[in-house]
Amino acid sequence: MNSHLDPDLLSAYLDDEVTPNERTLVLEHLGGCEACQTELESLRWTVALLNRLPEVSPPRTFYVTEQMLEAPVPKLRWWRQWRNPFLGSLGAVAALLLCVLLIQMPQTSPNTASTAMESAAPAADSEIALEQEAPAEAAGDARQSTEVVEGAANTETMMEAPAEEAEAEPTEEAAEEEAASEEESDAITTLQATELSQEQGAEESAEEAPAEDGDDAASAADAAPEATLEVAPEADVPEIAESEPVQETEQIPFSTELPQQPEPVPDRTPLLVVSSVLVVLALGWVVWRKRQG
Amino acid sequence: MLFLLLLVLALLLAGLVYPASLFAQGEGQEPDDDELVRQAQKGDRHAFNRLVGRHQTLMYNIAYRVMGDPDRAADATQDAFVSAYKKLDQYSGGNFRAWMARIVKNQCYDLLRYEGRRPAASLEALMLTHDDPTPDMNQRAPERPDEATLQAEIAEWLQKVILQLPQDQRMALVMADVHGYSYEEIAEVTEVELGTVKSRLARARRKVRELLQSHSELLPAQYRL
Repeated sequence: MNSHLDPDLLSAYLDDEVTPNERTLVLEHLGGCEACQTELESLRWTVALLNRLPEVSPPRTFYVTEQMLEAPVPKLRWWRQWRNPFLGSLGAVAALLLCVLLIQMPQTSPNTASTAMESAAPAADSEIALEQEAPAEAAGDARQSTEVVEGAANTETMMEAPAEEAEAEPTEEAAEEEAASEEESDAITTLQATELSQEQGAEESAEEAPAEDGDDAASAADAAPEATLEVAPEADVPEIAESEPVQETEQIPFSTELPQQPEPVPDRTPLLVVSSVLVVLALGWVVWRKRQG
Repeated sequence: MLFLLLLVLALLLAGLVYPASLFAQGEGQEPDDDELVRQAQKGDRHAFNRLVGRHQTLMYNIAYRVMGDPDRAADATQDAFVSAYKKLDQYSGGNFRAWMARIVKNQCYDLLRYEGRRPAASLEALMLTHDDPTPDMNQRAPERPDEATLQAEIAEWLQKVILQLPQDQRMALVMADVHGYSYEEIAEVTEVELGTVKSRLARARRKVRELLQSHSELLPAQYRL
């Protein structure tokens, strides 16, 4: 015979733990295979020896007393069950994931974005104030322009901070942020140049303004509440052309659009959920084992 | 006539009292395991201890064969019974012996895992301790004086061979071949499928056979294959 019986089947046949078909198969095979007959006999001999093992007398009785019920059962405490390799590794992986997520989450864009938005709002507000006060206070324009520039510079700095931190992130995100910051710096540079020319013009108009102090100041004061982009060019700011404030406004990146947000960090919510589920499963397994005793 | 009436009355009284005394003693009406469990579940600790009395020898022997040490086996057995009493509400009837054996198995595994005990690296190392004093063993009445010694030595050696097995195979072998549990009971105790029980038992038997055959010179002639 080329093939022999499965050793597991022979062992089960010894205990009569086989189906009728399996029993028939074994009997037919044993009839023509000496090797399997020897295997069966050796197993039978082994089981017979084990059957002869004597019963051991207990050293004492094991009746349950009240004292035993009051004392805690000296079993493994729940934290020692983490010595189980599977449970220990599962818990370690879940804890590590949670730590990584918790450490990195506060550094994600929502905080940075809100800060950027907060800096953009005052910048936008200051821009509107600048437009409204242009006819009346040219010198004030220069101051506010400076503030806008400073505010833009601060915002740029604040935006650069997350950009720098994002350099630790994947390189694609860092490259995109650098490109955005470069664009912003170019816009700022253009703005500064334009503002410098405005300042020059404002100073000139400021020098001329006192000469026509009385009427012009009154008309400017009347016009100020209704100051608009259309009114501003009619004021004594000849250097500021009608379209220039609009262009400059458009060039200022904070007035019309929100500053470019840094690339949002990939949503880690799924990882957080998975790690939480792993921890819950591990704890549930511990509780289940405790209940099973 | 009066004497006869008194005699009949006495016999009647005796006939009434004697059967009643039999019922009072409970002879012939030993409650089964499930009945004792029901009483214990109502808070009757004495009923539970009657269960302990019935099964403690078997449970201790399982623990002893798995642990290989009488003191640790006693600790595992006692802890198992205390734990079983506290978890009686989880027993829903059927086979108390298997349910109790599962608790003993878990206690043994916990102790083995906690203590990091491992079987000896080789049977030769075990044979170096062949002369260690054996625990108290009840044996069949020997036919000859040296038969007892022979049986004790074989039993000790077999126990050491059993300790060579992985604990899963060891538990299956002890329950099946030493204590006669069925495959279904072993599957319930070890919480595995029937096929896994067959496989573990078959591997355990082959391993024991190999160890016995490799040192068959130590076996008396009548015990050799």
